[in-house]
Amino acid sequence: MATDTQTIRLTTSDNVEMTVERAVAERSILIKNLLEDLGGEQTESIPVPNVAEPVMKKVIEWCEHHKKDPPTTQDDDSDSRKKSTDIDEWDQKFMQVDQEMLFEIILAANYLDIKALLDVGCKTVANMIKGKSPDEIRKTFNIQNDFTPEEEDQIRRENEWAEDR
Amino acid sequence: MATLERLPTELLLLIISHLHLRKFVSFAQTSRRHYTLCTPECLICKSKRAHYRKNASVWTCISEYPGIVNAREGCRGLEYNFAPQKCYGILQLLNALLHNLELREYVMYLQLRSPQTCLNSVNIRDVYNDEDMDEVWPSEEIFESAPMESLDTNRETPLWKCVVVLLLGLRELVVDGKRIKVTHTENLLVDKLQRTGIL
Repeated sequence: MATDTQTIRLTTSDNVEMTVERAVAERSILIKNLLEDLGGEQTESIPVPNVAEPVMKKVIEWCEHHKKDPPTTQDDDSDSRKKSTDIDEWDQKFMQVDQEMLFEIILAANYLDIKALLDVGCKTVANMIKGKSPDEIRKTFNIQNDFTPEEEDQIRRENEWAEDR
Repeated sequence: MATLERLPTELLLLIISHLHLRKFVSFAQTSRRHYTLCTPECLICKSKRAHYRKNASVWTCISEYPGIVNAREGCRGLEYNFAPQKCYGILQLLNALLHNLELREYVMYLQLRSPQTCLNSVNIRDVYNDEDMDEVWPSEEIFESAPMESLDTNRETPLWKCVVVLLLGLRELVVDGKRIKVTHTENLLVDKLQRTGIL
């Protein structure tokens, strides 16, 4: 027996139309609220002007995998703080992408209001920071060191207490 | 191209909220933007001291609560000494601290609870339960890593040390090689600190 799954269409910033199961798309609170506001069956394609197709594909992949997860609550938020380094195995593999895609996913999750995905993205970046010196962090993320040598020296001295000995 | 630098401030704050303090400090040293982000200005004096640096700004801001400390010199918080006779009680002080934005952010960075929980809290144990403490910071690490003078029996031990003890939920304090159990009751803690000569 075929399942009667409702789908909606999304149009990405690069003008690509994607058909997505409604339950999957509704992992995005932005889309969920929009669909509720519009009411009834949605026939028009919904524009997602801030997300390009490759990124949207990844976001949908994540939403499909997590479509049966319970909705995020405020309490979940505080719990996730406590287990800051814990990332589900599937999510870890999902986040094994280049940095550009990783940050695009974070930006998309923020725009689409998908808290759990945003959290996974931020934890992934936080994990990339852990265990690194300031210089190593700069190299990892291609951050320009714009301190003067004097400032850098002063800030290093201010923070010596926090260095591993 | 999306890079860490392209992320808006609120997302960067979200990322660093997952970092433990030491890594937070490392991140703060990577660029001007990150340093600024990690060291918001003191609400009272508007200076940009690193609030995570031994709670300097927190210390500064509590000076605005009359009677709690002998505050005279703006942001030189670390140089203030504790005047026990002027203290209205550690818990009261903590309440004042918990209503302080600097600390609210500090708490957030330490990955404890939501800022709102801290703001609403009147009891430090409600904010910092044992499980949090185990995750946030091993109890003695802060005293080993911070280059503070030893916690000797000097009567002028800065109050911030006592505050740190409570804020970080440390259950044990080493004074002159002797371990002091930190109790959950602020009065008992004050009593112990006084009996050991810290206050």
